[in-house]
Amino acid sequence: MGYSILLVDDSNVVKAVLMKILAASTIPIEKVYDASNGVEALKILGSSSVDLVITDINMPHMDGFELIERMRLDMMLQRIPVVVISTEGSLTRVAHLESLGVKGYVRKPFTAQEIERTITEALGGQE
Amino acid sequence: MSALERGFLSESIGHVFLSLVSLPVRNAENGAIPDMRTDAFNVRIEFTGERSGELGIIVERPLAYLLTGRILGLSDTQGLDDAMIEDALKELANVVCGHFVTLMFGYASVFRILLPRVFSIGCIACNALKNKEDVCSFTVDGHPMMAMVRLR
Repeated sequence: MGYSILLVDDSNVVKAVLMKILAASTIPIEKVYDASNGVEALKILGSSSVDLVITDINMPHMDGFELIERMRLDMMLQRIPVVVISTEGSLTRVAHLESLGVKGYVRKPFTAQEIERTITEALGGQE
Repeated sequence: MSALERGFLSESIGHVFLSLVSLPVRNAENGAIPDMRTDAFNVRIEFTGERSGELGIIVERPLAYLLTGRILGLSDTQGLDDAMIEDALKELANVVCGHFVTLMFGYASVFRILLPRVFSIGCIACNALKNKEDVCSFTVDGHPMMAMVRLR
């Protein structure tokens, strides 16, 4: 039994890198879904059981902020932990993400170790 | 481009390339880089906030293959297509831009980084750019690369 994780990023390259990191990690994973923006992510979240969302901020159609805000307003989705991976360096933006209940934040460029540690913590596990 | 902007642009590119693709970037004074021999990818990314502006990176095709392969962890880049390369270069520019605005304006400033765009540019046009005052020149693994930033 493993976790179902949803990757949300408009870059196929970033998603491919994250999938490699997840596959090589010690985190038990059952399924990885992927979406290119917030709209696609909400569709997947509405039809699938997801344990963790990993999202970018800067995306077309619906960005990461709006995705997280919509998840927080939805009774079915508000408890799903979210990890943000972004180029955003602004402390104000990071504080905003924390106020939205984001469980982890990784700034690009990232290392595999940073990703695994942040996901493990967001899922409630030990490093 | 001011000396400060030039310095922060070089620092951002150096840091991101080393972190993301494990390649050192060498600064070249006065456009002293080899001529580009192929067409190139011109990646442009705009940011808005305390100040608005645009950052651009021009990468010749062989270097673009190398960078994309490094990002994806591929030893063989034969199977890469332009869509994958453009995607990788957009990501690279996005991360460089994020670092540049943080270095330039600090962690307290809030910026919105817009979606990057990629254009094709011929090698003759590229080579004409390299001695321009507002262009920074670099070499990466022996390949020429140029970058510029324009604040509004």
